[in-house]
Amino acid sequence: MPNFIILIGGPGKFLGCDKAHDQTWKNFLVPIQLAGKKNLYNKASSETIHWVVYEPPYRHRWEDDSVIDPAEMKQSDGYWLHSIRKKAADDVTKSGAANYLQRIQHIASGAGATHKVITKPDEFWNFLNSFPKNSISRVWYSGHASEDGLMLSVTHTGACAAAAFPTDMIQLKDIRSHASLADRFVKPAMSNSKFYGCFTSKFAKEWKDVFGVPAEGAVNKIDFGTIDSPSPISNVLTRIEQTHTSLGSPDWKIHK
Amino acid sequence: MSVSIPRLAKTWVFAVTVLISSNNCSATAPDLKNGLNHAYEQLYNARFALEYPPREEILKICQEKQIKDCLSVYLPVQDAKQKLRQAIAKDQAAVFAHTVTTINQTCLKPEPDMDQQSVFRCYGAVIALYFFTDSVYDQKIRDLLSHAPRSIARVMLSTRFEWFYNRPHPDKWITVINTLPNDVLSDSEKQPVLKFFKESQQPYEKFGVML
Repeated sequence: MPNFIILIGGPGKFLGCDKAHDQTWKNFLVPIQLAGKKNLYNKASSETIHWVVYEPPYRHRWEDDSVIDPAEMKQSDGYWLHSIRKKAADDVTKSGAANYLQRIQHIASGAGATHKVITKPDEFWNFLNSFPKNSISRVWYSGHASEDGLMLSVTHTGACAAAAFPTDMIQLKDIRSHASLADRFVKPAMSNSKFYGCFTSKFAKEWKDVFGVPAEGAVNKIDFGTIDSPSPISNVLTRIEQTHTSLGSPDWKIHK
Repeated sequence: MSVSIPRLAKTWVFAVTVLISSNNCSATAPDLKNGLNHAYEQLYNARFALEYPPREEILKICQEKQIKDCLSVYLPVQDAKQKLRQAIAKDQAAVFAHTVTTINQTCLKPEPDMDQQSVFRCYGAVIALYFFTDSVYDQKIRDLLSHAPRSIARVMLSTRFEWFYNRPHPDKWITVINTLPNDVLSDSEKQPVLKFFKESQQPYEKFGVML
């Protein structure tokens, strides 16, 4: 039975000094959720879907959003940041989940996917390694990224720049270090692996070169926020792949 | 017959050596140290900030359109580069010594135990190795890598740092990396790192602190 693995990275904290990133905690979840509901990923009937969720950012974000301290309540930056965060946490509690991670687990279950939580990037590779030969149909990613790899979580530097810790990254170079996993993939591939993140085209190319399966990614930036904006493109995945950002076209590339 | 020193003992001996060597560096003026530390923290953005332009083409768009998100991380890195270069022009030996001391002190802890500022400073100091291209300093960096405890050696080779691409003798680096013990870098982990150093003689696209 082929296995379709979806790795989901997490958001940074929503800070008043950085309104450009992660205004919603479920930035990287909703596209996958919608793709599941509408079968935008053209799931083969034989495919089993596995959601692999990077736990630390969702835990930290919940800790931050679910408790608004008195200083934050007094904050008036014209954006009502604390209200947005509080509402997000309240919505999750109302849904019956104890926190964001449990909410994700419920959504995965509703989407008919298995749910695995990882706390270190290496555990993703261990998970791939746990499958038998010729059994992984494709791998998708949804989250922050750079040309050097997948940023499973982000923090903020002293000047409030969103940045990753290297220990929260799956580096592009890690693909080659795990070249022995090439035999885990079904060949010829049933569908393309896809990496939804900014500047992921090089990662996708390396994935194709090392594992011998087709892969897709963005040469430039993509914007997950586009799924909440009006658009003539109804398919949310296509919309992410095609909607221009401040840097122009995402230039979505398929590496075959 | 050579005697192998257990890794833990090696780390302890190394820590003591770092303390002694950092005392020897106390001649570095406090202002210079503070300035360099700030520069390392800024350089961190060149590799790990979300909005830092990853290529020259993206930088041009960023500058033409005056995109605030990317300029706000690019310009401080440029400032840090300028300050580092000015300091190197005045006293390259002192700046190199402080860079090495910073790597030794801030990258020594296993990464999950590092505090946030140490992470920025550690990786920023490693990024700053890009500015030391003389053969003498290149040899010193090789010595640093060869004798460093596992945690430091792994940080130095942890991502596609720009200094891999401007080494005066890439062949010597290939030899050093090939001879690193397996517990520092496994054979499969060496392959992508070697690939970076083998590419260093070829034309490359500008990225990170090269921009």
